[in-house]
Amino acid sequence: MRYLKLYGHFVATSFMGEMMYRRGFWLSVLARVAWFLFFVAFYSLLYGQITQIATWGYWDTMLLLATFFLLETILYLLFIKNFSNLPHMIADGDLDLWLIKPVDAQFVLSLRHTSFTSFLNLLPPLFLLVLAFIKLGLSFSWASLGMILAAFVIALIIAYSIWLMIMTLAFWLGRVDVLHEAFLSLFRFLQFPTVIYSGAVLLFLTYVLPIIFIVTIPLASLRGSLTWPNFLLGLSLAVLLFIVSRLFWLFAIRYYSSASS
Amino acid sequence: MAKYLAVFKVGLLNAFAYRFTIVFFLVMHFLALAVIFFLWLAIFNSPGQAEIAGYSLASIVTYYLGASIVRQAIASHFEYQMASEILRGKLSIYLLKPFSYLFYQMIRSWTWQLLSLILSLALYLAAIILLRDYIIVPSLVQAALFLLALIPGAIIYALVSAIFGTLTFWLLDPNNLFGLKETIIVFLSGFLLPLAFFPPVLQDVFFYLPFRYLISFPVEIFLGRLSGTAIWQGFLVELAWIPLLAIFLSWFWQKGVRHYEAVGS
Repeated sequence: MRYLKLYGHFVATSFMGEMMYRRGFWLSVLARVAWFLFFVAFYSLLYGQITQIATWGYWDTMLLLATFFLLETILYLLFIKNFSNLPHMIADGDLDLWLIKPVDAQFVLSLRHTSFTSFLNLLPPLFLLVLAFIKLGLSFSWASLGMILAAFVIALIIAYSIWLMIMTLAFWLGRVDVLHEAFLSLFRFLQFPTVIYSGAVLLFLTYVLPIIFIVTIPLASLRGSLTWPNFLLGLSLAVLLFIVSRLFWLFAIRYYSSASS
Repeated sequence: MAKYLAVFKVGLLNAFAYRFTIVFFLVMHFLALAVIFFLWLAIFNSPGQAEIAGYSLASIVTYYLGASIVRQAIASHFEYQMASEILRGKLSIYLLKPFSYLFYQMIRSWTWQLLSLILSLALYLAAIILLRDYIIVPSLVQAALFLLALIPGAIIYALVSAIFGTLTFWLLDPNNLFGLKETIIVFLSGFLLPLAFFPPVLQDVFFYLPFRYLISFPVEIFLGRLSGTAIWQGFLVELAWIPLLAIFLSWFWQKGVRHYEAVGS
């Protein structure tokens, strides 16, 4: 409860902060929407020449693209500012300030800043998602909506946990300005039909760094093909990864001996 | 000339200090390239798919590998550095010195690009050996024209970077704009998708725009997809853009410097 109230304050201050640069706000929306539209155009032009990528038709790929951009935008919205700042905080010793406060440091450092600029960016992929859903003739019910939302939450927990684990490496790597991009560049593997990965790459994305589930679980839920056993398996994976990332974080904090103080 | 040689040396040392960042970006660059290869392998794996928009699997692999090398060689991103120096008032120090600030930025950037290209050579070599069955080898003339086309491409890229960097004089937070510029270049230059996939009308328009000359033009020369006429006409359009952009830049830059407030100094 206390954390919920605290998060409310975080959101409010982030909002005030962003309202100071309104021109930057619109440019940021424009940049993201352009990137999204170019990817839609990329696949539209590509499918103008071919009918399928392996077994995936045009709208199958559009459903994936919408899911990917929706998840990416939510990840940006919640975490990008926090995670991109983390290596600096560790290298400069600013982290100490949060470690001595009576709140959980992982909570604060993951959620302190919300990027409201990303909020409007949710609309284009959401629109495409609905469009692809209809074009593919998928069936909708309120019960399945619950399943879809749960699947997206599972996907976000998996993404957050893996991202946090990579960011936690900053305790040993020192000042790596671009560390937050490491996860994102792996994550971008998922803006292409997952069917293109095979062999060692598929094994890596499934078992070593299980990022492939970040899109496969929501996609299965949208198609209504997410069975209860698979749902529970996905949930277990999310919980497990969250616990592992939490333990790794706590281990790193114990290792951390601050900078220049 | 000697003073710009000094800038080159400083740039080299500077880039070397950030060698881990360079290696990091290289790895990400290659990951992105690998994904594109997986995509096209899957597309060409479908039965009866021998040629798409005039590209065979071999020519498409060579295209993307070439596009990746070209981008690495010619893409400059010093607008971020310009923005930070303008916004923090550090520009004043340079304005007092007896050399051109824009020229200084360009040379620094080219040094950085050269170093990262050399560092990535081993990786590209490995990629070429790995993909040797899919690589199309050009004739000597094509290879020479390809290399020649890179020079005006690098200059156009640098001029565009400088123009966007100059916009910082009027904007407080230009980074999103820089991102937008890069997105547009990636798409319209043929980096994401060969321009043969675009509608013919657009291809005609692209002929007169500068974007194509950054990536698509040199790579298509390399692949032997362009006729002799198309090549010299292309060079003509490409070369015409340089004075156009340079004149605009120098006017725009002077206007910016007059607008400059030198915050905090």
